[in-house]
Amino acid sequence: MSPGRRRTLGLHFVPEERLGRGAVPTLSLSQNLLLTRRDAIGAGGWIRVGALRAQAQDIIARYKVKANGPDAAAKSLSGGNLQKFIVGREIEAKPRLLIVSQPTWGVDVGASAQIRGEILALRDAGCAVLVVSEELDELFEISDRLHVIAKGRLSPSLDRADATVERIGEWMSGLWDTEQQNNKKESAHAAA
Amino acid sequence: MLRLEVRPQPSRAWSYASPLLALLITVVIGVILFAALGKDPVRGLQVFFWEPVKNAYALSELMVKATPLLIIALGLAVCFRSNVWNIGAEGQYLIGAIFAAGVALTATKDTGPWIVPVIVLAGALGGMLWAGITALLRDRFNANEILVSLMLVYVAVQVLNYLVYGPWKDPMGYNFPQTKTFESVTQMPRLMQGSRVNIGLMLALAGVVAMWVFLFRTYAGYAQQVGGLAPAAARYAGFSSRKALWIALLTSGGMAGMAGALEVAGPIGQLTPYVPAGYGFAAIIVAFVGRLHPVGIVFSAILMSMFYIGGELAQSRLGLPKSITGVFQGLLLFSLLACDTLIAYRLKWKK
Repeated sequence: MSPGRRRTLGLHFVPEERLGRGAVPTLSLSQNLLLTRRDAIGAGGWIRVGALRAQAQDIIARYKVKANGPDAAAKSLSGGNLQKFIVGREIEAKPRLLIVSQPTWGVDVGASAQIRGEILALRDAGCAVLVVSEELDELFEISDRLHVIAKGRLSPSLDRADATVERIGEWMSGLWDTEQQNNKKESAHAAA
Repeated sequence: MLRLEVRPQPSRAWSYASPLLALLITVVIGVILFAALGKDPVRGLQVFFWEPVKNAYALSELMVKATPLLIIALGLAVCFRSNVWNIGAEGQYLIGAIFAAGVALTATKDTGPWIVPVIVLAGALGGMLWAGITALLRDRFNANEILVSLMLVYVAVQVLNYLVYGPWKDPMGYNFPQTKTFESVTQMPRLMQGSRVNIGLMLALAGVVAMWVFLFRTYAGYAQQVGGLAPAAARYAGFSSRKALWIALLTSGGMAGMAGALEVAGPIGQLTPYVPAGYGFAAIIVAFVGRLHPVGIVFSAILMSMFYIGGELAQSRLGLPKSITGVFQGLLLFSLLACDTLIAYRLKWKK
């Protein structure tokens, strides 16, 4: 399935690399909207420049992006501000499933907190969010359920309430099977 | 000593000033060159920069030469902006000229003027076919498009030679390697009496507008350029790189082929081994000096056309060899590339 087709079905994605993948460095913020958003595209593929700039201005204002307006080149923004813009771009598309990869890599503390808040708000609005991250603190803060991929296998789902750093650490070495066998033994003992 | 320092942001001012500075350097080196050759430098500059614009007729000749350069460079700008390096526009131009000649040669005394658009379309088709070979080899076998398109130029030259020395040679032409002169009905309609400017100029100017709209106002043009600027972003967005490759090569090939048709059924009027005048290569310089921008290319096409006419005049007026044109073209491109350094870097004096 092509990325465009996936987007029309409501799957949006924030990649981990901002410059060069999530945004074209030399293009303006409004032009970078066109990577994943087609709201300002009129009949016959005509770009409605006014609508596009307004849309970019809207995201800049709503997500408090510090930028020199919608015509600022993507690479002129700091990492945190560009990330806010990209996350805003995908959230404003009102996705049904949002996949976010490393949402706060190289992002300053203030922007990180804001991005996490926006992701939680999106979850509350009823969107499924899949966060892929290496930062356990971040995952514990914003996830409801956790999965670990280790040695090419996907672990069972783990509730946030049952997750501890030690346990996730073990799982990250692929040790969730042994743990479950132990659990079974324990329950067998309890039953006996 | 002087040092180059990376600018935090590329300088906008220098991206416009760099072509002007390059032109200035070209002129200065030109003056030195004329002096070294024992010619009067003022006379030399006059031949290159004043003679081509001194009266209405000279201006119209300037336009005649600028038209093919403009058309080819517009197509190349799309190509280079999408990071597809077609440097074989000369070959696409030639095959376009051959296709157009093939149609023009079928004309008889009672052919109607409908043949004119057919000739232009045949030329565009020929150029597209030739560029399509490059696209196919790149797409299927990942062959380097720079090498393939360049080498196909020499194949195209041989195809032309085969035709004019062989099957298409004019039987009444005293064995000269050329086709018969095309019927007058195949001539591109001229815009006014007493000049050789024809509808090609109108097509070229329409091309400027069309290219500007395509590049800056359509989603397809946007997708095309993202592939050139950031391939990973294009994949993320879902813009097909294969599609971009084909669009780039077919557009530039079609434009070059159309220029070939306009030239062979316009100012030349027959197919000869002298059809390849280097327009396809000169257009690469035109596209870059014009900053790959349709409007910039208009100015650089006129400038390059001056070099062509100046070079011809330099032969008759100053007794300089024909290669002076190539020297000036090379100087301009070379100094432009050097000056472009100043867009991303600044000069700093450090001890």
